[in-house]
Amino acid sequence: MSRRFSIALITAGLLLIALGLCSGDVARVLIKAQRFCLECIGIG
Amino acid sequence: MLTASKRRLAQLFAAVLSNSHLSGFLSLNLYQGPLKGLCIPFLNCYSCPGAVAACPLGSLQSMLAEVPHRLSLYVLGLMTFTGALAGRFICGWLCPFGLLQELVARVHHRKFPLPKVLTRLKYLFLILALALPVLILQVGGTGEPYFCKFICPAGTIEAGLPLGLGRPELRGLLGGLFLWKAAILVLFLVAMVFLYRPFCQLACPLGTFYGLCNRFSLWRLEVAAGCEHCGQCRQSCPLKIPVDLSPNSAECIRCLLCRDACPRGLISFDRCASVSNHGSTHEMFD
Repeated sequence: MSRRFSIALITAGLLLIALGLCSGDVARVLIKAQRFCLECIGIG
Repeated sequence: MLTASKRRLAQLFAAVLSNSHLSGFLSLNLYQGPLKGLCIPFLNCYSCPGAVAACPLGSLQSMLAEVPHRLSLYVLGLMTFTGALAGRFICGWLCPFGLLQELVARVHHRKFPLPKVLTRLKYLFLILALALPVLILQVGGTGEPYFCKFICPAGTIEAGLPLGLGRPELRGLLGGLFLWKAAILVLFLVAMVFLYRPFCQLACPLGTFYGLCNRFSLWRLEVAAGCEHCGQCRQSCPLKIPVDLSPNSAECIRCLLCRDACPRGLISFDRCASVSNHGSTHEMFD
C-alpha cells in the first residue's frame, strides 16, 4: 500500500475526530466514563 | 539504550500516566474531571480507580448500546488515526494490559505457539464487540457493552477486583457474572505463563483493529533488499512471525526485536516509501 493511502487514512481519522468533537461525542464519553461501569466490574 | 528497555520504559510510562489518579486507588472513587472525556488509544478500563481517561473500546460499545444507537465518530476517528499512523505499535509499546501480560510471562521462559485457527478468533470478537450492543437489546431498547461485560479481563483486574471487593455497597451486588469474569481473568493469567500475550493473540478487539491497519500504516516494518532469510528475525520474534516474508503481519505488535536481531541491519521501522515493495494481499491476515 502506498504512502498516499496511509496519509488518506490518517486524514480520514482526523476528520472523524473533528466530526465527533463537533457532534458532542466527548461529552457523551465523559458521561459514560465518569460513572461506575457495572458491566466492567462484573455486576449485572 | 536497547529497544527492549526503551519499550519497557514506554509501557511503564503509559500505564502510570493513564492511571495517574493515584488517590483513587486509596479512596476507590473514580476520577471525574474533564480529561475523562478524552479517549486514550489503548485498552485501559475507565472504571479503574486510577484512570484519568476513557477506554476506546468501552466508549465505542457504550455509545452503540444506548438509544439511539450511535457510532462514536470521535472514538472511531481516534482508532483510525492511531492505527493508520503506526498499526499495532500501540499494543507493543503503550498498552498497560500488554505490559501485565509480559510481566506475568516472565514466570516461565518457554512459550508455546498458538494454532493459527485460534488466533483468528479475535476477528470474531471484534465483530461481536461492535455488533452485539446493537443486536441484543434489553428492556427499553438499550444494548450493553457485552465484551466489557462478559470477557474483558482488563476491566476485571483494573475495576472489578478493586471496586467490587473494596466497596461494600458493590460487594453486596457481586454474583455469577463477577465469578464468570474472575474465571476468565484467571484463565488468561494462567495462559500468560505459557503463551505470549494470549489476550492480544486471541481476543482483543482493539488490537485486532490495529492489526488490520498494520499493512496500511504510515510507519511500518520494511525489509531492505539483500535479505538472505537467515531466520534470525523469526527466532527473535516472540510471536514467531516470519518477518522477512511478512513484515507487516496483523499479528505483529511491533516490539521491534526483529530489527535489533537482523545481523545485516536490513529491517527498519520507518515511514513507508511511496510504493512499498513488500507485502501481499494475504499478509493482512497472516
